[in-house]
Amino acid sequence: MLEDKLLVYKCRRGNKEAMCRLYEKYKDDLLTLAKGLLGEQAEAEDVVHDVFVSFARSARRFQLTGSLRGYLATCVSNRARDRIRAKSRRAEAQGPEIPSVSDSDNPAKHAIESEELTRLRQAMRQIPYEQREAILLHLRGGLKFREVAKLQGVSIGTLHGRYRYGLKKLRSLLNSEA
Amino acid sequence: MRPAENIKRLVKKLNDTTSAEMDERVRTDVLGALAESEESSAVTRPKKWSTIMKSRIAKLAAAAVIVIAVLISVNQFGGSATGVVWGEVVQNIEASSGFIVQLKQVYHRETGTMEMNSEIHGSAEYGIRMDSYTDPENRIQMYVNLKEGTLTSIVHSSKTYSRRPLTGDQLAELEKMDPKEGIREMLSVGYRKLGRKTINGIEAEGVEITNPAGADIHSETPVEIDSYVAQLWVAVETGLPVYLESKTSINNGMQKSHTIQDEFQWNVELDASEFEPNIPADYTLMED
Repeated sequence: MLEDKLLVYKCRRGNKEAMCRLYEKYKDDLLTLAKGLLGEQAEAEDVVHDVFVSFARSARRFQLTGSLRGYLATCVSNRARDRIRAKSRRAEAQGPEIPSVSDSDNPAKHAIESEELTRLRQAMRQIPYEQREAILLHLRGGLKFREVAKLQGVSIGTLHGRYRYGLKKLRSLLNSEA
Repeated sequence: MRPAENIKRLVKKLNDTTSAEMDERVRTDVLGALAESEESSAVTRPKKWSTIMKSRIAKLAAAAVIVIAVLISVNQFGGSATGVVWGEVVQNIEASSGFIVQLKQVYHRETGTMEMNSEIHGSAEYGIRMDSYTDPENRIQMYVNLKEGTLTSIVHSSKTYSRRPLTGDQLAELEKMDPKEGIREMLSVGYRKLGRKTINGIEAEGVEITNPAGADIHSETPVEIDSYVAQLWVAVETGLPVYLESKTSINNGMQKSHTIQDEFQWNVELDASEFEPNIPADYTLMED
C-alpha cells in the first residue's frame, strides 16, 4: 500500500520508472482478471493495455483514495463490460457469430497448465457474467463485497447471492466433468 | 464433491502472464501517454463543464462545481506561495474527466425535517448520475444523458420511472441559469480565507463565501434568502476540492438547509454503463 502511494506520487510527477514498476507489479493480476472475464487472451491484453494507457494519461491528476489494485481491477472490469456489450450489440446486428477457439482450448496451453485450471476456465465461461465478475473481482481483484456490489449497482445481498450461486455453479460444473 | 473452499483456491491459482510483445506495446504506449499528458497539462484544458452545467439537474447535482466556478471570476484570490492556487482550482476541475462525491442534504421546514444522502457521479463525456436515499427503502435515481439530452428519473419505492427529453428551449433556458453568474453575484458580497486544516487526512486550505441576503443562489423558483454561508476546502497538493459545506436560511428562517459534500474523488475513470439507466421490467413509465 505504501509502495503504491509512492508509485502514484512519482507517476503524478511524470516518473517513467515508477510507471513501468507499476505496470510490472500489476500486469499479470490484471491480465488474469481480464481473461477470466472475457475468456479471450487478445481481448484481455487489449483491456489491460487500455487501462494502463488511460492511467498514464490521467496520472498527473490521479488521487489515490483507496487501494490501487482495487482501482485498476475496477477499470479492467468496466472495460471488459464495455467489450461484452459491444460484442452483444454486434451479435444482434450481424446474427450468430462463429465461436472462436480460445487459448484455453489450446493444447500447448494444456501442457503447461494443470487440467484442473483449464477446466475451471471453461467452467467460468459457462456461468453468467455478473456471477463471474463477482467471483473474479473479489478473489482475484481484491475488491471487497461492498465495492463489487457498488460496481454492479446492486445491494450487498444480491452480490452475495451472485457470488454464492457462481461458486455453486462452478462446483457443479467441475464435479460433473470430473 | 469439491467444497467451495477448493473452488476459491482454484480461482486464486489462475495465473496469466503477459507476453514480451504485450509488455513492449504497453510500455511504449504508456510512456507515450505519460509524455503527452506532460505536454497537455501545461497548455490545454479539455472538456468544458459548461456543457454539463446546461442541465438543471446537473446544476443541482454538481453544486460543488458551481461554487468553485466562482473562482474563475475571482482571480484576486491569487494563491499563497506553497498553498492552493485558487485561480487554478476550476481548471483542475475542468481537467478531471470524471468525479464522484457524497452529498448530504438536510432540509428543515415547518412541516418537519428531511434528510437525503446522495452519491453523484459526474462525467464530462457521459453526464450525471445521482443516487439518492431518504431512507434505505426510498431510493431515487436520476440520470442526465448529455449526448441524448434526456433526464431519466427512477423512483424505486413506487416502481415508476420517467424519461423526459431536454428540448432545445429547455437547454437554452438552463443555459441562462449559468451558475457562474449567480456565484459571481454571490461573491460580490464577500468571502474570506480560512487558512489550513486537515480533512480526512488531507491538508486543505479553505475559503468562506457569504451572502447575507437577497440573491437567489440555487433555487429555480424565486425565494428570499436570509443568509447563505459556504465553506470550500481544497487540497493543497492537488488543488481539487475535498469538502464543501453550505448553510442557507430562507424566508425569515422558515426554511433552512444544510448541505455537505465530501469524499470527493476526482479523475475517476467512469464507465459509460454507469450512466445508462437500469430500469427493471416491472416498473411503470409515468407520462408527463
